[in-house]
Amino acid sequence: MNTFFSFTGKEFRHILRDGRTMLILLVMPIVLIFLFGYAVSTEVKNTRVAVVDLSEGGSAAKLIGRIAANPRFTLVASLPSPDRLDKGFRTGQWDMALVFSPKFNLRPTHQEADLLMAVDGSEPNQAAVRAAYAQTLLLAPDEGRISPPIDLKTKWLHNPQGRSEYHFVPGVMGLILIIVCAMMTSVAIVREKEHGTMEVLLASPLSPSVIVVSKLVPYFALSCINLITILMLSFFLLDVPLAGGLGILLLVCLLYIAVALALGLLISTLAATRLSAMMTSLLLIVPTIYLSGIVFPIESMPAVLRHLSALVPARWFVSAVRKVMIQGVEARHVWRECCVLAIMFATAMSVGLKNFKTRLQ
Amino acid sequence: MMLLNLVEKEFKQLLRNAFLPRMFLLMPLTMVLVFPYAANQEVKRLGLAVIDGDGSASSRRLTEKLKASSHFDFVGQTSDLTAADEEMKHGTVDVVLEMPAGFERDFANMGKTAVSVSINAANAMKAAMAQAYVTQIVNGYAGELIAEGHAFPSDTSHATRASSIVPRFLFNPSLDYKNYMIPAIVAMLLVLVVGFLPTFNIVGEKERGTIEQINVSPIRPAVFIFSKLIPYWAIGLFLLGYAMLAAWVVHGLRPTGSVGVIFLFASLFVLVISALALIVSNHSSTTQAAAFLMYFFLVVFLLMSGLLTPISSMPQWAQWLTLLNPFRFFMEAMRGLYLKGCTLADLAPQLLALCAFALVFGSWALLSYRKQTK
Amino acid sequence: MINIDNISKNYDRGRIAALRAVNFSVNEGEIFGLVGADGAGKTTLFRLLATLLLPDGGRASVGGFDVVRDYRRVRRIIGYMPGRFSLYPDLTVEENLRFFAAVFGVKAERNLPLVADIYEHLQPFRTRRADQLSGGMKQKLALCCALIHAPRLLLLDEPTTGIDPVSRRELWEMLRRLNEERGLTIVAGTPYREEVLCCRRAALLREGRLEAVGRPDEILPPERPIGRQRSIGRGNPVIVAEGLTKRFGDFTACDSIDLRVEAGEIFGFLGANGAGKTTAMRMLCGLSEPTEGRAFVAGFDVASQAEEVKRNIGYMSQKFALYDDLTIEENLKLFGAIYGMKASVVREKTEQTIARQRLERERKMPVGNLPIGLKQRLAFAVATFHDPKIVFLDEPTGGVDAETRHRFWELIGQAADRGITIFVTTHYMDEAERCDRVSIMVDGRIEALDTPSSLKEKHGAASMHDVFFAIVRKQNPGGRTLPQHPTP
Repeated sequence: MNTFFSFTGKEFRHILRDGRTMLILLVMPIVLIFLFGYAVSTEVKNTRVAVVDLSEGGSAAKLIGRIAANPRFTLVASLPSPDRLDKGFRTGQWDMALVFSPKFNLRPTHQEADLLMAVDGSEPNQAAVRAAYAQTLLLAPDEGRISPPIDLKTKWLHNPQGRSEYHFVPGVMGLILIIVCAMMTSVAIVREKEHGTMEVLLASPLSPSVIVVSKLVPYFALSCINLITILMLSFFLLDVPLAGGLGILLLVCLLYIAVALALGLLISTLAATRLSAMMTSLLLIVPTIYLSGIVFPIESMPAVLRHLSALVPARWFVSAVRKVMIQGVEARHVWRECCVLAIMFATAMSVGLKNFKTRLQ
Repeated sequence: MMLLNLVEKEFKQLLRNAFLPRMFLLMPLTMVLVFPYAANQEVKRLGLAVIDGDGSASSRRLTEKLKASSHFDFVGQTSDLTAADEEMKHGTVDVVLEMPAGFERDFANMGKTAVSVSINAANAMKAAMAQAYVTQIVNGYAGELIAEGHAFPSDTSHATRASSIVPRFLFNPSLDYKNYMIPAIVAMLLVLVVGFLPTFNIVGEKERGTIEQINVSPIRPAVFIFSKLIPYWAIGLFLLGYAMLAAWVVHGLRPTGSVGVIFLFASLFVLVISALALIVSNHSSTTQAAAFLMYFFLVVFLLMSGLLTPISSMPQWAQWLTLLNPFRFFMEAMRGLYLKGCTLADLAPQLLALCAFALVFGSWALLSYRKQTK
Repeated sequence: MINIDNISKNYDRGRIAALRAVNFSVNEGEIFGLVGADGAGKTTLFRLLATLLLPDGGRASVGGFDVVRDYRRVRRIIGYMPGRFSLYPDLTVEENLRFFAAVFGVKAERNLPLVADIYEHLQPFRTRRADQLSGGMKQKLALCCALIHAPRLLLLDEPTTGIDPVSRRELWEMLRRLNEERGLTIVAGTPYREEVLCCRRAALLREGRLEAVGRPDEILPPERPIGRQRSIGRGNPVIVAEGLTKRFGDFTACDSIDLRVEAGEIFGFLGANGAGKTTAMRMLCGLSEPTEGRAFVAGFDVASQAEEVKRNIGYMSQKFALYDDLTIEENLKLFGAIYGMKASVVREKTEQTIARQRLERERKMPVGNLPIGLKQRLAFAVATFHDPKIVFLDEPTGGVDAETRHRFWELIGQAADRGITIFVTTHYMDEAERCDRVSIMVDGRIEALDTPSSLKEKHGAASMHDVFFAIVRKQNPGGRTLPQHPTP
């Protein structure tokens, strides 16, 4: 037991003395949370509109006024003719253009479009949402009139203000934990190989499991610190709710950390140098970014990628955390995710321990 | 002569590496083939549950319309909201549409009726898209009903106009998300090849001690640095062309702007990135430190570049900050050239900004490389 | 204590035979030497005995336990020190020691008396990080760590590579004491002749085969004759240093060095680890600016005309600063171009060099695949390729066997005959004997500077080894360590 403690103590010293890496590890989660919390957002906040009003007697003025008054839209230009619209779209001066034809009046004709709406479609999601906003706004009845034929009452559950950080926080957790646990652990083990100290450790009567576990414990602690930082920041600063039980959330997190640590061990048994350990962990980090639903929805991907994503631990973690934190579900709703993570842990750990040699070569 | 020989040496080393040449061939292909599907924020296959409290012909017709949409995956009919909510907790349902009893009758009698939609907004983007899709389908359906004479609303002006305002989507008429991502992915490729590899290369020479041998020789620092960078520039620009070709063959996407201008921008951007790589390698003594530093820069720069999420969605202060990010200008230029058919004149601000970055980063890089220690 | 019975080991799926049916035994309480050129199989043998490798054939036992079946018991009774210092660079002296004690489940305090006379030297630097110790100190610490669990057998794989003669002698005195007082069995591999002579018996390996076992003087090849006297013209100095000083913060690495090296001279620049040799050399090469004083190399000021200096010198560092993934020809071509030589000249000189060094067979091979002796000769060829006036060699022969060193020094002699001035640092005192003049640096100052023969006379010593020991010991009884500054 004493051996174990002093081994773990040594690992902590390694971490604490590598100032720059330590700083990056501790600051990275904070920077990411700030970026995702404040700067990176998918909300459609502002649409810049250019208007060409060719209608007779300014009959479109009312609708134009409605656009100008809406906080989602900013009227950036009022042009006499549609000629300059294209240039403005290309240089990014406006996102949407409304052209009211000379025939536009309050009595619509069915034959031809008397109001033309053009939207910059390069970013399709923003374009679709902008078009839908504008449509609804233009179609909405004037005050005092009746509502449209089918009145759509929409309710956004769990996130009524539609804030994107609710969605990003679990993703950031998934990413940070895999970097800290898998990448750092594998680098730490491989470092001993490079320094030649592994040779001495192996030639000692120390059992391999003690070596492995004492290597993992400090990174486990570090990821717990990261986890707490992220949770505190998101809860107190970003007002991301913690709708479900804290207990079940921690359980999911611990399971995920365990999987990531086991993967780190596995990588360290495969790599001979720190550089190759880092390259191998990139093979883990890249799918974590793209195939875990952190930013990109998995459901929209082609079948091959959807099946592939089932192999990415972060996918299950992010899904479970999102449910627990935002939707506030109970344990029985996330048992599937937990089981998958547990199986992944068992597999990675047993293969890792089996490959961890007690001899060289 | 000296430079030529040094460049030749770099090329030989690159090509003799067991890993790099293969990576140069495979990475662009993988990125162009797979990433547009993976790095895609398109919202499809939203789980939809319907609570049909009316059970009439009209309510069934609306259900059919929703089922037919490619945006939704119809999960099933449920009896009430609690049951639907349970499904939502398991993660199978994202959208619940509820048509109350009297849906058809109210429409026929009073010319108006109500439908309520509950959306799981844990992912705000998905919720916004779901709402936009439902709105389109329901509005369209109302227009149909009126046109068919099922209802005679007191004022038809707005309802009819519902079907008459059809938004025209410029530059990407099919609203294909892949088209938006491909130019950015091609840009990413440049960043990886011209940013990461020279950093590892230079720090690697430090670690192996070969840089000592260079430092005691009369070679000028600039010559040495350029000999390191030129091969990566050449490879980077070659891979750019290769990736653009692959995007054309696989996804049928061609730049609508001039290819020459794309290469002009790419060359400028390559200067900026390699200067950044040099700064990082001059300030790190081990590959591990360099990798961490580079990785950190890259994450921040990419997140703030508009690659994943639009800059216009950021708060104002963050939008100001993006002006310090060279990636932002290159992404804008690439997307403008690929999708919008921009001309060089349209992109003058981006061009000037990248020139400024190249100048600042370039001189910083040269100043921070020293052969002699104090 | 050790019984090795017909043991063999192959690498690379049998393509490389590292050990071929080796047989010998080591008695309890013996100091046993393992001698052989690089690649002879010494390290493989050590690793087999340390139970780190499985033999492909034959058996071996340590202390009566089989190294394959009873490897756990074997691990309990051995102390092992691999070739590289297996220390944690970011832990302090004390932390390293405590950690290795804990690995074997013993209390560092209880076993400290065992290593007391070694640890005494380390005591003042208890709280210093291992990467800030000098080579000699690191080695003592590594030895303490290997001894802290009171092993019965100590395996030392080239423990003294890159270590100065004084530290080496101290180490061997300690080993002898441990052996006499505690009956510790020691097996050590070493390329140094005088160290092999300290062993009771030794085994000579060549290409994986056991050549001989017996008394060291029976095994070792006869010593080579020491270099001839050469006459050097005076009054034409190519290196002049006047009060050359370098400070890092408040640490003075080089303290007001004065020296003159004549054209065509072989100048040995000696000193203990951390005495400031490398710092001085870096200043003379124009890599580092002097804090005070002046130095002229080939007539140019190293501070203000560094680039001119570089044009006129060649440099070979401790590490092989050649590109592993380029061939011999390509390396030569590259460095020729760096020094601005014409392509035709480069071609001609490449042929000359290849012919002179008999490298026809290897010319198209990547340098990384060459044996270490060849790499060293090639590095020398690169350093002299552009016909520099002076060549600086920083421990060019670290860790190679006597034969390889001998051939290397033949090259040095040839270059000197061509009129190239040689400025060389070394820890081998037989190499120092071959220099025209030597200086000995202690704590940043030059304490002695003369021809080897007059130095020996002055100190009444039989060899340069004794001269060195006398000078360094007098000035510096405890040895000093590197300061807390980033390694340049």
